[in-house]
Amino acid sequence: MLSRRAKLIYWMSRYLERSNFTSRLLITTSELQLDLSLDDEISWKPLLTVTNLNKDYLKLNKKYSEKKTIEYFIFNKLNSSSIFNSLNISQQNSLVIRDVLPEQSIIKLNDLIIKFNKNIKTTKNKKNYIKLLNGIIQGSQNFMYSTDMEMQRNIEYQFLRLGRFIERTDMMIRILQSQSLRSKQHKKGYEYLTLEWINILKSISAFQAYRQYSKQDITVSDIINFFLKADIFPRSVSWNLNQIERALYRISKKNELIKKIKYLNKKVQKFNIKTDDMDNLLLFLEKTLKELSQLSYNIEKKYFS
Amino acid sequence: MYNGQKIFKDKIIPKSIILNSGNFRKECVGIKPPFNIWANICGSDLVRDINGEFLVLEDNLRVPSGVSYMLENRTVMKSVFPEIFEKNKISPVDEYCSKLYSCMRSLSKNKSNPKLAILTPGVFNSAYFEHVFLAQQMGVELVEGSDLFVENDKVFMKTVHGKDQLHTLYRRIDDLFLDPKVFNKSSLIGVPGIFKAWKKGNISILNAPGSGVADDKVVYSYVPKMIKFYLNEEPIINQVETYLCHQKKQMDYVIQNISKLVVKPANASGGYGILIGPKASKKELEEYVKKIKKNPRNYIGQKVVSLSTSPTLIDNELSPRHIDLRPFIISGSNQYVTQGGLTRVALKKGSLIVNSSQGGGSKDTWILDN
Repeated sequence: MLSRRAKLIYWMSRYLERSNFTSRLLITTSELQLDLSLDDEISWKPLLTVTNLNKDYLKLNKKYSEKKTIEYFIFNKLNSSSIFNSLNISQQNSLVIRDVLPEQSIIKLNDLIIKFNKNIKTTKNKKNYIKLLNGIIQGSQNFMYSTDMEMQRNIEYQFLRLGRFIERTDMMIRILQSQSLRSKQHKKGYEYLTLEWINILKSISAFQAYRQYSKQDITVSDIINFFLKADIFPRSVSWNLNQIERALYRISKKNELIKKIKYLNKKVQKFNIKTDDMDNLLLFLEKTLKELSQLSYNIEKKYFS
Repeated sequence: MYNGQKIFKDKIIPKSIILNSGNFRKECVGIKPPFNIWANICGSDLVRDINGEFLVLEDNLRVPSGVSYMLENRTVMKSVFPEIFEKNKISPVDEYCSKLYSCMRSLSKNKSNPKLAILTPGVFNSAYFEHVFLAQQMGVELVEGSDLFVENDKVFMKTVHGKDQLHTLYRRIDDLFLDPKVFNKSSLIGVPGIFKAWKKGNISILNAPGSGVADDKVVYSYVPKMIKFYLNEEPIINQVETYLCHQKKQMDYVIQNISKLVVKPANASGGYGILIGPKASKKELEEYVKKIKKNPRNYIGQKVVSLSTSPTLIDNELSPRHIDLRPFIISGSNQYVTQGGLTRVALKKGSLIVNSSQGGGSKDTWILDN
């Protein structure tokens, strides 16, 4: 497979996954704010911090607000990771490599973007923007379903998966970071801490899976454990690292990157979580994200240059 | 033209016509492509005149396009009118891509595991859809110039597993952009060194560089003589009567009768630069005469052929529109002619310009086996 085209399919997949998870992040935060009457800064600042967008956001806006943050994450053209830009990059890449994508997948992606552009002006209130975000999650899942059903299990497919799972791991860690930052700000004995984490579970459609996985009373550390280590939950960090390893193996059996990903996964599995030590968790998440980003850089260097 | 040049020596075609053609590539002199075929893919435009006679309007031997529309039109028609296909024996056109694939394979030096690709200028090219379509249907790589490099006069693709030698390339870019080392130095869409690799026989390119000389509308007018010279046969399909402006008498005729003729630049394509005398204003005619006088070699005149019409759905009503027909011919180890072709339609009422770049449409074309 041509390096340039591998890169296009990889990034198409990453940006589509980014639009999916950004939607989830926004829905989670919005619902948390609704449930717990959190103020705008506590609700929205963590999101901007973990996505490294805080500075850029403050250049355009004086204070944190639901309306401005939502606009910034969904539509802002200066935000390279906004949903608008992510979907556009995905679509542009898909046009170049449409000979390797099944026809139905391209139709699904175009449908998603047409619907997004059609509803772009109807996001003035919470009800409408949540509807729009749910549409993005559904549309991107339709695309994934169609690629999983129709694409040959060839090298193109492995790069599509590689992009998807690297982005998913990255975004999953950022979701954990944002909630950890929020948790850190609460005083000791704050009664809704567990509820906040349960909300995160619900926002990524993981609550049911968590209840089936964990047979004990709900605790924050148990939920974090689940997000990090559950090897049967398809959005946990560990499960996604496993998928990255598989995709790399299918691309090339002799692959020094596989060792690195295995090592990273071991570290995730060994991490010991203490509910009252959010600093330690944040430090661990930051390190993991850094290693993932290094791995992503190595993939680019090895296959796309 | 590029080898023995016997046709010049026997004075069938003046040497100056070829040497002065904008599409003649002196760098190709002496090169022999596989099977001695320069234009592996050809699309000749046929029209039907007022007497019902088919005539060749022009030849496309450089980078003929439109075959994907022919195939897609058939797919659409089969799904919309399956009962018509059931009742009639309509010759299939679907085998085009497999024939093209076989042709590309036959041109490869590597017979056991040939690597084939289509070279596209990129996603912004108006024919990109077709490039993708053909790559998809044949299962070959769709490459851009930046995906290829030349090492030791061999062409390689940059793949995720390193370099991979390419054996046959179906180029969908113009000669002049193919190799910045040999032709247009500022080309960013070509592959530096590919011409030398081709010259050494390390890669086959279709259509071969230099084949565009046969697209020249002045050269076209000599085709019946070429047929007689090379095959000792008469053409099966005649041409539209053509006047060559580089010949003084014929130029005078064109200028005197310009309001009754179609005048075309010899080396343009896509319907650009054509003057349709009966529809042009006085000012347009005068300006065109100036152009002809300035560069007579670059212009030909043809009698207006009132192209046949076909019922066409316009604003939910059937209305006659002018058409032409482009069948495709593939030549490699074997030769194949599509049993059908691309029928192009001038969608504007009364217009004779069928080119898609000028707003033309297309139709499925059926050959009935009765």
